[in-house]
Amino acid sequence: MESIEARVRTFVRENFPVSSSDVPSDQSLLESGIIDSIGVLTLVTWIEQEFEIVVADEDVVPENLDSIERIVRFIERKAAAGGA
Amino acid sequence: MTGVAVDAGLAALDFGCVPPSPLQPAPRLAASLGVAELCVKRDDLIGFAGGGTKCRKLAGLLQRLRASGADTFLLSGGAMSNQVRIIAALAAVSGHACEVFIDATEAAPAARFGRFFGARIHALPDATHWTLNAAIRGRLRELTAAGQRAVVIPAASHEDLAAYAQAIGELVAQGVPASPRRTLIVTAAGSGATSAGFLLGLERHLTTARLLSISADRRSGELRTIITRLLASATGADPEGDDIGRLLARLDVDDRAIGGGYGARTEDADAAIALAARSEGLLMEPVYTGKALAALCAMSREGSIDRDDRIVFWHTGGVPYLASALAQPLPPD
Repeated sequence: MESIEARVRTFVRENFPVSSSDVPSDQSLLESGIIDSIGVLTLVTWIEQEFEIVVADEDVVPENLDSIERIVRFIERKAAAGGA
Repeated sequence: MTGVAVDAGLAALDFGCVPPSPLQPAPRLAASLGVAELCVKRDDLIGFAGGGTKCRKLAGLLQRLRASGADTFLLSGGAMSNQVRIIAALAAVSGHACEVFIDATEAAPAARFGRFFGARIHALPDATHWTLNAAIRGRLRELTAAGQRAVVIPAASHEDLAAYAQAIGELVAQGVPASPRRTLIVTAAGSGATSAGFLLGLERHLTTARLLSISADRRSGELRTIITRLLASATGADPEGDDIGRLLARLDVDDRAIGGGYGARTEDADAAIALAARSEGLLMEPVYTGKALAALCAMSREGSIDRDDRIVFWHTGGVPYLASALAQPLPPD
C-alpha cells in the first residue's frame, strides 16, 4: 500500500498539474495557484472517498488542506479518530 | 421544477452559432498609444446577457449541463464577475435554479445582476476561498439531501479553453495574418482560462503571434502557474515539457495594473477607460478591460512593446458593470 503522502501527491499531480517535479511539502497549494477555488471541493471529495473519512465544513480551512504535509497530517488525524 | 421542464429549457437554447465578434480598427487609440496599428476584438458585442468572452463557453457548457441532468447551478464569483452575470442569465432562460456564492456584499454589481436574473445570492463579504468552498459544499449537500441535482460550475474547464482557442481561429478568419506586421494580442486575465485558451488557439491557428496577459488581481508568477496548470490539464502534456514550453514561449504576463487587487479602482484604469471612450467610443470597465488598457498604455509609454506590432486588444466584456463604476466620477481630463 502506498503511503498517504504518495497518494496525495499522485492526486495533486494528476488533477492540478503544474510541475513534473515534486511540489514542496510545505508549499501553499492555493496561494501558489496549484489548486483553484473549485479545486478545493475536488480535493475534499477525493479525501472523503479515498480514505473513507468525513470532512466537516469547519475542517475546510487552510490549516488542514493548504499544503501536502497539512493534508497528510489531517488525513492521519481523521483516520486515527475513526474516520469522523 | 420538473426534469422535463429544465431539459426542454436547455434544449431550446443554442449558442453554437454565435456570430463572430467584430474586429474593429481603432486608429485614434493607436495614435494615443503611439503604435502603428491597433484593432479591438469586440467580444463585448456578443449578444447574450451583456456579452463578453465568457459567452463563448456557453455552447460547450450547455452540452455538459444537458448530460448532467442537473436542475440547479451553483457557482462562485467576485464582485464584478462576468461569469456570474452570464450563468445567472443562462439559468433564467433555461428554467434552472441558480445559486451564487459571492465574496462581496449584496450590493456588489455581480450580486445585483445575479438577483436580477433570478439567482439566489449567498453574499459572504469576508469569505476566503476556503470558507466560500465550505459554503458551496454545505449547500450542495443540502440540495442533494432534498433530492435535487445540483452541479457546481467551475471558473474554467477543458471545454471552455477549447472555445477560447476557437476564438483565435475566428480572428484568423477575419484577416489578421494578412497583415505584414507581427500580431500582439492583449487581454485582461482573471481566472487564466481565456489566456490558456488563446495560447492553445495560437498554436493551432497563428503561431507567429504573441499573447500579453494583463493580470486583474494576481501577481504574474501566480497567474503564469495557473495558466500552466490549465494548459497541462487540457492537453495532458507534461507541464515542464517541450509542448507546454512552446505554448508558454508566446506568453508575457504583466501585473502592473492590479493596484489594490481584484475590483480595486485605480486612477490609471479610470484614465484608460476615459481614453477608450473619448478616442473610439468604446465602453470598458475598471476591473478587467480598464486595467488591461492601462497596462498597455504604460508599456507603450515606457517603450516595452514593439510599436510596429499589430496590436489586437481583446475586449473581454463586462460593459454592464461600467454603470456602477460611473456612480463615482471618472477623471475629468
